[in-house]
Amino acid sequence: MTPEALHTLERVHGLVAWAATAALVAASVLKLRRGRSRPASIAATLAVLALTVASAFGLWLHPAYDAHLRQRLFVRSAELGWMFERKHHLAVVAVLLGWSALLSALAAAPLTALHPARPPLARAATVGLVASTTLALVAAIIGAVVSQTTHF
Amino acid sequence: MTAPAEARPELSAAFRVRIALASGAVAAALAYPCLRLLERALFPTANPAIIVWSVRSALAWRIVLALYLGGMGALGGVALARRDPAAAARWIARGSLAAALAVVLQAALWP
Repeated sequence: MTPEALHTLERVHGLVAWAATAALVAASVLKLRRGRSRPASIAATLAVLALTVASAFGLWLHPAYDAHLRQRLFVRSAELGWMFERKHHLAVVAVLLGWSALLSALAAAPLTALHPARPPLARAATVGLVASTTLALVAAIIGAVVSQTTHF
Repeated sequence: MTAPAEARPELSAAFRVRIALASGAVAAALAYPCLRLLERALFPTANPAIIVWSVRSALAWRIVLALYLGGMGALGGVALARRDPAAAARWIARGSLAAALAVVLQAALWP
């Protein structure tokens, strides 16, 4: 990939990641305030999908990061380098927990209100969504901080 | 006599698939920080500042291994959901919390 393409992909990755994080925050707030409502479900679905797309861009960029940026980042500042490694860990788990939340909500959807599995599934969806949001937010902040000093 | 699938939605294929995938995702999320800790303990690497390039991507391998372990978690989730769907759901919630705490601890102390 050309340097210009990498630079563009990096910017797109950042924008989509921040959009996904904002959507996750909105979905979490809706979920916590309104519980099981249609707007909360739609917001959560879109947010998790956006987070997945952002992560896909990140994975696409990763070989180029390994080859061109990683050593440079660690030479510049070991602290920033390890901070960026932390971002990867948080982002991976954020995506997985987001999907767990979405699938728990989908599993709960056809159950009646009296079904014994419905409340714990709803709780699993909320816990997963809030956890995913928190991790994604921290990852996005770290990404923004590091990209100020080192980028394609 | 067991109730028909229509009266017990947890017996439907769609429910089992969703529980399987949710359980698998949580298991993978829990496995990832554990794999990173094992990697640091058993396979320490050189200072990244002196590594110009690496043949394999540690991140990619960790993700693949975590998803593999998540697959095992998916099977466990479905098995539990057949017997007690509420218990399976509770463990998904507990697993989500545990995974979030585990990755925060791992990232903070042993990135």
